[in-house]
Amino acid sequence: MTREGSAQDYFRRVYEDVYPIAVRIAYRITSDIEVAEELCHEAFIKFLDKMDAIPDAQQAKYWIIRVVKNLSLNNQKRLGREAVANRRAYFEPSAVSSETGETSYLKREAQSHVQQALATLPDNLRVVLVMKEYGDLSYKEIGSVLGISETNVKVRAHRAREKLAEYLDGGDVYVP
Amino acid sequence: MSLEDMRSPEDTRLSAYLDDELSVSESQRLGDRLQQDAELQDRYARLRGVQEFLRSEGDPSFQEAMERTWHRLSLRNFEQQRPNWWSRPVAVPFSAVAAAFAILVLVGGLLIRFGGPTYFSAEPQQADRFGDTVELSAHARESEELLRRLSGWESRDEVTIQLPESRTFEFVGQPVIVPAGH
Repeated sequence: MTREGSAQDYFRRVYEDVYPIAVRIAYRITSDIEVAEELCHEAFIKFLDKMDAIPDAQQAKYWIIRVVKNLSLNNQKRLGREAVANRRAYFEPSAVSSETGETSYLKREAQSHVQQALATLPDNLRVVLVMKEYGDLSYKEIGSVLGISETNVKVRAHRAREKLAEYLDGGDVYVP
Repeated sequence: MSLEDMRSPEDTRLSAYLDDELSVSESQRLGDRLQQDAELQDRYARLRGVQEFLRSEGDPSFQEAMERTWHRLSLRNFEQQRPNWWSRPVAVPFSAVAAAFAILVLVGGLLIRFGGPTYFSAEPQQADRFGDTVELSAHARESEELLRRLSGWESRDEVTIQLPESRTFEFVGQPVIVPAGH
């Protein structure tokens, strides 16, 4: 699909095509719908600035999904760093969390079982599985987004499922 | 690809089968095997269980988020948001830069090789009357050429050489007296 019509028409077409996929992927990586919305907003602002250099709608789709994926992973890393810093600042020298068992339980329950399971995967496997299961992208498309071969995508998707199967085997997780 | 993956290419194919990513013939072959191989069926069921688990919780609705984001993007006046054409980044392929550089070097080389002296002013006119002054400018590097021209110029009376007023100008060697008629 190539660019036709005005720049605004092109942007609108790409937005309607890509936003539903991008926001699902962001949500499945961040587990937070509001954060996912913010990250998609940021990605489309970046695309608005870059649009003239990406006149092909298919390439635009890959580009935006790549940006959303990177923003989502960076957001998670930032949260992780902040959590570590907070623990150090407030709970040193004790490394034991001050959360009670009940608080911890309630927090875990608030996050879905699926999101918890996905969070156990390494980034490179999680991203592939999320794009496949929730972005409904083909192996070829995932390869284009990540800059890896289809074979590599296939292997990563399988490894991700294997790891999730082990996780599900080992825990008290309801599997339909 | 790790050793583990090389040992289990069939499992990887099972995953691709689940994703409907195999060719028609591969899919047909694996489907036939699945009918007959109970152990393969178990492995497939395991992967399928993971897929069903992942799909067990549907996505929340993103419709409102999509409309809200579009509204926010629309508020950024679309045309004003986009930078003017002269300030937009332009992607120039490396090969184009290399070709332009090669052309520049070639043209420069040709000019140096075949270009004539560029510092001489036009050929001076002969003085018509006694006392007329004719000015001739030349680059310091071409002083020999200047002297050669002066020697071929009859009825010269007085030659005044004006050195450039430049900080970068340097004297090299001692002044040389050039005999008349040289």
